[in-house]
Amino acid sequence: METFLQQLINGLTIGGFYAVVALGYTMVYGVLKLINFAHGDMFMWGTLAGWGLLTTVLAGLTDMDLVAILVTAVLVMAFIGMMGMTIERVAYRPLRSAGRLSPIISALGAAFALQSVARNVSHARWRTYPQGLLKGLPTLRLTDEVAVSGLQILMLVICAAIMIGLYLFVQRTRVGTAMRAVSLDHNVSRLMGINVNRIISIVFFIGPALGGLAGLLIGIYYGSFNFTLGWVFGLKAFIAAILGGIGNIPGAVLGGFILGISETMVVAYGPDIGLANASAWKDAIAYVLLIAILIARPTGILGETVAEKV
Amino acid sequence: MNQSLTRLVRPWMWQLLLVLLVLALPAMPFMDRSRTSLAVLAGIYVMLGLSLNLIVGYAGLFQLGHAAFFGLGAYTAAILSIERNITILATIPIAALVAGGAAILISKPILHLRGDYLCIVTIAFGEIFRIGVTNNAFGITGGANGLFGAGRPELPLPWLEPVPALVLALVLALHVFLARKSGYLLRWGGAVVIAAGYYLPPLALDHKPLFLISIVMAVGVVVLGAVLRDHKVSARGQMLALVAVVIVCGLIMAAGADSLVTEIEGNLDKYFRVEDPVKVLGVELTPVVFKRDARPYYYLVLAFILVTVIGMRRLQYSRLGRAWLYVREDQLAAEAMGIDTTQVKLAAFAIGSAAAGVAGVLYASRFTVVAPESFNFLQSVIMFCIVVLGGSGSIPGILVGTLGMVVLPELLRDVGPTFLYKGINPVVILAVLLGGYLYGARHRLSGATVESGAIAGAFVLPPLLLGEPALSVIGMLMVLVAIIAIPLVRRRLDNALPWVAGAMALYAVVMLVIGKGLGPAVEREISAFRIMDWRDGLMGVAMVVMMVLRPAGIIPERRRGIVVSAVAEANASPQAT
Amino acid sequence: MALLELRNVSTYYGNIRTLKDISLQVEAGQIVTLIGANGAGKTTTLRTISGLLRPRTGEIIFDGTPIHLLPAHQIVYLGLTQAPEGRQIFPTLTVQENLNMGAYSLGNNRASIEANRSRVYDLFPRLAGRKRQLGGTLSGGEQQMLSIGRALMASPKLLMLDEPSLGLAPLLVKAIFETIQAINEQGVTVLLVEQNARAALRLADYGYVLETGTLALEGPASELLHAPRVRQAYLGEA
Repeated sequence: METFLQQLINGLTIGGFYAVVALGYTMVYGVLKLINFAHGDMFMWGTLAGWGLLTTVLAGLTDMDLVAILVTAVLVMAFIGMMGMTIERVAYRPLRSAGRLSPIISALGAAFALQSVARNVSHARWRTYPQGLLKGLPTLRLTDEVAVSGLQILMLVICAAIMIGLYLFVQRTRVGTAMRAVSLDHNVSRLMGINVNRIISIVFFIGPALGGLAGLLIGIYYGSFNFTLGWVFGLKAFIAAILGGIGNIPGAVLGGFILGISETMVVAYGPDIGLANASAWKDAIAYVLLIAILIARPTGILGETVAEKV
Repeated sequence: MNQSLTRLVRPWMWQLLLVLLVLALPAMPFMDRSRTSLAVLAGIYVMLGLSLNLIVGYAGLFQLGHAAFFGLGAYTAAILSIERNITILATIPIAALVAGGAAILISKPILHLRGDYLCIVTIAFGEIFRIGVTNNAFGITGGANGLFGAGRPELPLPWLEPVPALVLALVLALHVFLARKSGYLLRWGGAVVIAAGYYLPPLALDHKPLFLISIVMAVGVVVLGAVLRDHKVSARGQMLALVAVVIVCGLIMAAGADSLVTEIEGNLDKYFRVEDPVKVLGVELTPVVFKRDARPYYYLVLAFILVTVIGMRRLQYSRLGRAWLYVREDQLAAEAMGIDTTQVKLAAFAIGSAAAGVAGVLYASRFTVVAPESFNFLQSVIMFCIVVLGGSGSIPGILVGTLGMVVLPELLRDVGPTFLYKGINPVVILAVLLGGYLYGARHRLSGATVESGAIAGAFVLPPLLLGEPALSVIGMLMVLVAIIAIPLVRRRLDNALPWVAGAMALYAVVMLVIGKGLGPAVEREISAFRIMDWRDGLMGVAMVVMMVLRPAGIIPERRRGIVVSAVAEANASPQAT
Repeated sequence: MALLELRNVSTYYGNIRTLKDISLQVEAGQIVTLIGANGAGKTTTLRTISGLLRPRTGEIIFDGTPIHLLPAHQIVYLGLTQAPEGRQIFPTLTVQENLNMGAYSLGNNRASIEANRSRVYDLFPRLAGRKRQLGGTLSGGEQQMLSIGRALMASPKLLMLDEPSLGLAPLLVKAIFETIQAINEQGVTVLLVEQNARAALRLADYGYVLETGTLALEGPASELLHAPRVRQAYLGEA
């Protein structure tokens, strides 16, 4: 029971990261019906940029962890957000009316380019974040054996804040409602006076900025990373978005947590139920889950059934 | 004059020229060992492109996990060859069945998914396959290292009976089938001519190895006939071509019998290992096994490509092919017309995957090592790009796509760091860049020409005057910035020419002032630059640029039917903003 | 001077010219109707005016400003809105949110948004009771009301309506047309596209008849109502 609780908490933390990255996929898919394959690599760029800032410019500030991290977070979000807007402008906007195959290639191309630059910037090596960031946080002992580290609590709180904040933004504000309108119909939105291009730009700022923040957090949480982080993690986050039903925010969150918890649980309890090397198969869990859920519910758990317009 | 020329040069002549070029490619002086090897690899990718084109191009289904079926074929062949000792080309039907069957099993429950969902699920299957073979699923895949020691292709020695007779029978059957609408003379008379031209020279000259030339001749005649028929050359013309080829081949054999035989036997030892005769179904055959050299593989793969292309074209115009077209363009309408869309899509997946499995066998037999990373997601993306970049649905597009996605990145290996500014390369690059710019500005050619002149001047002068060729690399960046910036500036200014000229003059002056010191610095930086580190990134940028410039691919499919194109145009109608 | 003027406008889908040299005028304060059969180019005309399609040749002047080169969303800011064909409300947004989107061009001007909203709820009391209901769950008539109401939220000078009677029961059609009259009396100029020629011409001050992309006929609505060609082709009289 104790380990179960411990694993649940670990799973929730990972799930929170999946969920935040999934938000970016889901928002972009909502307004453009495009799988933004570059999103995972922008997330990785968040980790990379955060590492760059914390180990060079802000290295002297590590005495004041929190200040350094806050400054880094703001800079990383701004940088990755701009990166997202640029990619939309260069690689996606010219292809708006070009059918469904070409944007996929363009998105994959953007992903390759981002990954390649990251590989060269990091010299294709594993990189480590400064030791002991935020280690001063108190640990919460639930029982003798179950402990939640302060870092985990902080991560969960931040992820939860992001999700709730974004949900409120999309539901309550004028621009957020316009995003939902744009995701329903570009032309009708234009007739309302909505500048569709600007709304899409905003989406391509917010999504990657949040993804970049998640990248920074994951860098702090795990301590080390390399340039391939974005692809696998991004793909899984996208699967999380689909699990929940792509295009809607609660769905992305639900999918993220389901995926995070399933992964942790299978790795923890796999050997007990006959999966000897469950951890080697860890990456396959997301895919199996995806296929199982899509066969049962073709538009995801919270997705609405929409007749396809071919 | 011009008109008579175009009447003389028929389209089929271009095709024929291309075919001859492809056939002669391994004999070209620049085709060293590694490049021939690359050509074989490219051929395998062409096979993969053709097979995926069926799924993506014809049926309009997303498939980003095609590498898994390629891998299934390769693993099947390797396992059967290593464990059961089956000669590798004989595993082709089994590999095709395994890949096709797996495709049916896997895609059946997911075919109803909408486009993007299908895309992600195919990625998932591809990844599960990769993870599975890496973890040595069922204990037969060799884990992360893969399997070693798959067999090389074995063929029977072609000039020992009964092989010549069997081949002739096959060729004649094909000829009679293909010429079934071309009249008795061509159909049966042609068959007699082929048979005579096939058997007479080797027997009369008493040199059995000459049967090799007979076989090439016979196959060539049938293919030539198919091409000519495709281009509506008259039956008399076809007959004439047939007789001419047969006579020329006969004369060649008669004139150079001895030297030809020495040549053939010499090459046999160079490229093949002749083994002891074996009995297959009561017939004695002498196996010849491929050695490592790439040339025989080249022709083997070419033969498979040929068969695949013919098969694909026949499929495309069949009842099933038309059904794919309807499903791709409008699934609802197709259903309303009584097409069973699920069956039709399933057929596309099954046939395409089976063909990928065959490509996998070729891969396993060429490299004899089969390992997980050859079938990862990147490979699936490359295959997808081959189809879409070249022009989804178009067979020439696949050739172009393979050149761009497979051949070009490999050739980059040969590009040294100084390539950019060696010899006349800068001028060539400048010409390409400015040519592209002029093409883009062809509606105002005179103005753009003057601008190009200014750009070219600013590009050429500093390196030339200072004797620092490395400066042209900075110049290339400048040209790129200029051709992107000028259209933006022109939107705001009525007369941008003085500004362009001024900027170019400024650039030239600045370069002339600081160039002496800058040149060596640039040279130092560039020699530290390793292009292979950036290969994926360059490929990515190229993918974005190509799609933005030509969203429908480099050689788009010729749309069939006026309605379809009208619908496509209406969908792409100009929209505000 | 006319509030809206089209001068020799031609619009293409690909290479197919769907509008051929259309010239028409809408005077301020009037109800002008554009009638014609299916596929005559009525909706294309409206989409060209509102900026969703670009004319290849010709000019469109609204309130003294050339608008044929403006992006669609900026045209709304000038006071020209449209209730599109088939209603096209946002199905997963609530009634209130739909209306708020209609007022997008007013920015954060809460006072006028509030005023417009109460004007719409006065015109369509049935919407007032369904503020929190999702647009997609409304009946066809209610959706049409919402679509018109949404177009009114931007305080337009000119309101373009594309087939407001489409698919509605006769009683509802009558109600909708009365509301259009009321809207016009509040000072909003109306350009009404209709297949229901009789009702449209009875309501309108001036009318244009569109046939396969060209203007076939124009005149005061009362005259058109009695023109033999219109009676024969559009009013179903021998």
